[in-house]
Amino acid sequence: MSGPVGQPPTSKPGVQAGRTRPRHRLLSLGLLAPSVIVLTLFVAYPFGRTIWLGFYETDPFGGNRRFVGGSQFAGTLTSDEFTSSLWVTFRFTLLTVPTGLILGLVLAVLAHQRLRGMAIYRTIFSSTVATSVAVASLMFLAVLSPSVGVVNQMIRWLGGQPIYFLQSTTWALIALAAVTVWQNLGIVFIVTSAGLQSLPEDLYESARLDGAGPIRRFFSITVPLLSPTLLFGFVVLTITSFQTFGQVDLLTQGGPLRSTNLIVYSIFDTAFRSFDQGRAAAQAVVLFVILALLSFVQFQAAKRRVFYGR
Amino acid sequence: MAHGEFLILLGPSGCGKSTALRMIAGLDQPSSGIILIDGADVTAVEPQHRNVAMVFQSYALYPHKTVRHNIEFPLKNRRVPHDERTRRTDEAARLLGLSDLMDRRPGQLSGGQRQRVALARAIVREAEVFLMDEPLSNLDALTRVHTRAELTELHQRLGVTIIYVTHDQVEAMTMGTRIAVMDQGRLQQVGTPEEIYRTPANRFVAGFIGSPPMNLLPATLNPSSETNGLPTVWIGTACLGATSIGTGSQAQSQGHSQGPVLCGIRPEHLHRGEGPLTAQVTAIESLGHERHLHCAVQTADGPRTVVARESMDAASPAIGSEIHFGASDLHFFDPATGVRR
Repeated sequence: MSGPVGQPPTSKPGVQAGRTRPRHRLLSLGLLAPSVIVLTLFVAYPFGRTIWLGFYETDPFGGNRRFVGGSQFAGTLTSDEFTSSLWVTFRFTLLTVPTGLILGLVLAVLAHQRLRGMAIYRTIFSSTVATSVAVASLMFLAVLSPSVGVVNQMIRWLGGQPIYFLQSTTWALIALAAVTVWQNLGIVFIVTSAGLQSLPEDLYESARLDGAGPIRRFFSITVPLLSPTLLFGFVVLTITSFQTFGQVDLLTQGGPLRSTNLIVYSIFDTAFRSFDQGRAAAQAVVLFVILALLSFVQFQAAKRRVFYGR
Repeated sequence: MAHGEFLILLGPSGCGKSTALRMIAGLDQPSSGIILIDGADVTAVEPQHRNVAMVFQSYALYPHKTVRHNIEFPLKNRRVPHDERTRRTDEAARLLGLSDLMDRRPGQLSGGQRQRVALARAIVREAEVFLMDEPLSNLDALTRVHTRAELTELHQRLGVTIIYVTHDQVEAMTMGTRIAVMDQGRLQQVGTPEEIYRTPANRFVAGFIGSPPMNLLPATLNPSSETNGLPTVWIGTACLGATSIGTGSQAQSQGHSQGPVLCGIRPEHLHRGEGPLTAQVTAIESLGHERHLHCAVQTADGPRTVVARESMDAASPAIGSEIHFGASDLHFFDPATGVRR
């Protein structure tokens, strides 16, 4: 810098900065505005409104509100309908999450081999991610059909009696789980494949030289190093399985005998078939709390088993 | 190679030295030829059955395992009994000064410590051959010098066979009992560090070994009656004197005692003072204990840069000044094939 030492600089940067600051603030608010508006309109407001609605009893059109305090929240926890739906949802989660995760991981490991034509398999395995619930449900409706479905044709060919998958209390939940596992396979496959790509090749080479066979390499290297990805998949699949709706609506409508009445479908039923919006809102809030607690427990339980790189 | 040898595979990046090492390990398959370990053909043998241990450039430590579990992993895979495993793991850790770090994970260790864990994991196996792929390249300069000495000491103490890949000639010269110089996938020369330095087999080895490398100048060998029939060496118009090269009958019959050659002179063999070679100083590098003079020399093919090494005790010439060199210990290479004459 030229000029005598100790003299203030002539361009007065402090004054300039003072002038630009409010402009910066305006700009940053302007840039934030779209996401703030969208989040407020579609997340914060409905969420707050749902909690608020949980404290009111309403007529079938949401009018004539009457404040009932926390009674609908308490009622939700003691209601047979809600707890039975919750139990069905737990069973559904147990059927879909481990199966989906293991299947996705196994397929990802298989497709990770450097073999010719593997890109075709990768595309096939990840394609379910581009299939909507409606399409998946209709596909399974056809596949599981008692008269023309390929599964029942095979059963008949093997000499068995056809199974009414979607009409049987034993099979309906399993059939729904099959659709869900199939639909989730794509995303689990993609996420675990991406995780596998990031694992250094020389660890596997070193393990081979150290005498580790493929199974030992899978359990000693792949699984521990993929644990953050697997935890992510575990939490996300659990949440989505608790939020399952489309398959139920299209394939079973919660039946037969409520055997597939998953929690979100039950809430929908309360709100739009029984027209009890206040109670449905209370149920939705309780479901939110259950999911938040479940995710917290999953993260805490996995803390010791998940390796984050240090 | 012999048992207990410390062989260095040396060469520039991409010359195939790591590939050669990986083929010995069984991680890559050779397209032709066979690999023998202890006389047995292991070309088709899986890596885990070759009884070779390898230290990778990245160390390839299992980041989720503690130092102890890293070291004992090969023993676990080979179902070594628990007590024996603990004993050997502790022994390897003690040998490499890792006893206090056994419960740490690789992420909590310094580069040098990680390198020692990788070494411990290799020696705990008691393998027939140790393969090392540039194991010091990720270390800082000081740790590298230290670890270099430790490796040499470890080799002497354990008496194991080591094949060590590096592109660093200082590592090669200081550690190896023998050096195999490679270039473009071909073996150029195998010999002791001294042989490689004193009698490079070809132009590539001459230019690759030594820092600064050997000066290679186009020269001519002329038969002369004044030097008892010995040919004289000419660089441009300067005569460096007579040489005994090509005086053997076979060399003479092949016409090696005359004609164009590539004359190699190590920087320490260019002596400033009175001498036939005239040069102009273009740059001077001072290293504290010695000085490198970069000079332009006229040759038959135009001006060429040579580097001379001299003690800092001598007075430094000025840049641009004209100086004179005498030269000793000349090397000659065929200008077409690059092979030593």
